[in-house]
Amino acid sequence: MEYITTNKISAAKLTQKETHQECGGICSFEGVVRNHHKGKKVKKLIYEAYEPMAEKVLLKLKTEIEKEWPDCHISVMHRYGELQIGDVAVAIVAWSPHRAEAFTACQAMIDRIKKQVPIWKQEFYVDGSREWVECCHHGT
Amino acid sequence: MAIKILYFGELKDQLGKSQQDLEYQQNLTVEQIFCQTLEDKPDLKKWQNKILFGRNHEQVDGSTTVQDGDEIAFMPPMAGG
Repeated sequence: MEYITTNKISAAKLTQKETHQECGGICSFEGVVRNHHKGKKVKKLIYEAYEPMAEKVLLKLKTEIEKEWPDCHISVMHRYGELQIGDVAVAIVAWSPHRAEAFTACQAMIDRIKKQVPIWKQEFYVDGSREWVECCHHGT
Repeated sequence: MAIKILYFGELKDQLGKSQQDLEYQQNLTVEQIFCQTLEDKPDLKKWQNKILFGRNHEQVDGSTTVQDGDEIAFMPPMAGG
């Protein structure tokens, strides 16, 4: 698998893998497991992925963004399986000749990931309960 | 016609299974198959208006007709990131 993994990921690792000398702006984003949700204390998360489709959609989104922001390069990894508080769930790096496009391309990529990649998350709380979380598509 | 159905997320938990092989005599749409899945499960009706359909790793409309050998996915709204 090229874009999803059960191993630890980071934007730094993605940044190190590629060099784009024509690019003066690099914008990276990491989505990290936080310790609370709607007032409940989160202990851990399990991400379930429909692996072959998730791979396909992530490649499609990367290609789509690179077409819409013609001078940009996008690198992305999404983690699945069991994640602990502080673990990186998704990492994105956008390279662009200028900063404005790097910011907007990176944001567009995470926004589209949340809506289109077949991955689901189940939160496990400190009180012993658990819940499948519906994604809030409002940028939080 | 033989097809494979995959269930994900909360729906998978509620149905108590992640996949199933089904045989059909006629060509049905993915939505028709999903409605059959919910037939005797009134507590799962909430999925009817928000379920997403996959066919051979592509997201498709409910009106898509299923073909022999298809892998069909019934997916709750995505929640990655």
